[in-house]
Amino acid sequence: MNEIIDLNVEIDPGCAKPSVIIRASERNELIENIVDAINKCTCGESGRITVYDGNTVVLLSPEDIFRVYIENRGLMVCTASDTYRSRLTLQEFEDELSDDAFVRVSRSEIVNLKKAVSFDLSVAGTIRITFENGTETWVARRRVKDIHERFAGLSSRTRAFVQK
Amino acid sequence: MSKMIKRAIILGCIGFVIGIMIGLTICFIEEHRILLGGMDILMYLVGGLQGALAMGTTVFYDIESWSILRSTITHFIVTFGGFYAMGYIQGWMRPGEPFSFIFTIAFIVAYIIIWLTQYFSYKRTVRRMNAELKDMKRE
Repeated sequence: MNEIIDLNVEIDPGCAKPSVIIRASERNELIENIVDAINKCTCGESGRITVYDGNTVVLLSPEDIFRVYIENRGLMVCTASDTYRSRLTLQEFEDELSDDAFVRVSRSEIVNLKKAVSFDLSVAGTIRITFENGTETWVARRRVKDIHERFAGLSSRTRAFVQK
Repeated sequence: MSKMIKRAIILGCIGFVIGIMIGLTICFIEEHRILLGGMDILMYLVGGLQGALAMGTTVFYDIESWSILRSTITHFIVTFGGFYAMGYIQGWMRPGEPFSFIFTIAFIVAYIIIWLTQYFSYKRTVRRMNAELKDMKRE
């Protein structure tokens, strides 16, 4: 008997895949923990990232993410056409994105190099990245070394994969 | 205290020591001895402050969101303003005198060279990044 929540399981042979509805008077920490726990046990192995579109939970594949940045103290996650909110910190997000294509380009932003189209230097001397969806962001000069290293890591990984 | 202010203080201290050393060296070359009169010590200290200002303000280049142009212009304004004021105290900078004009031009030219050097260096870096990006896409 659980005194915190009422847990009911309904078996319905007509259900193609399990459906979970959480009914509560408000969205609080307990509800967030339940959502996280469900996500972890159903999606943990697939490496999907949990983001939010308003109150709706969306599971993103890392390869769909273009950039992740801090805005108004919140963490925003951009895909080709949508922007979602994440409850993680930028550091936690960086740890979660183990893919080498993701690199920190400034104190407040991580980008997916696989979605970049080009780099260019403005007259004032700011390094800009343009992405496949036409959006742009800038790179801090001190992070340039990390980008070179990431590119080197990506090509050595590809070479190792081809040799196998 | 923020990391940047800490770094500015550390660099400023290093610059202060270097500034004093330069003052002492110049004095030794000119006089073949180190002068330690009240006015001489004041000159060494002002030299130290010039060194502290020049080195401490290099943190402007560490501000991530600033372009090379903005960092260079800010560094120029702060350093030149400081040097001008301290030169005035030391007596070698007098508005309207030819030396003051030459000093200003030399300062401006030096900063244009600094900016151009950095700009073309980053231009090369960006070309390399584009080549690496192209290679990654091809693979």
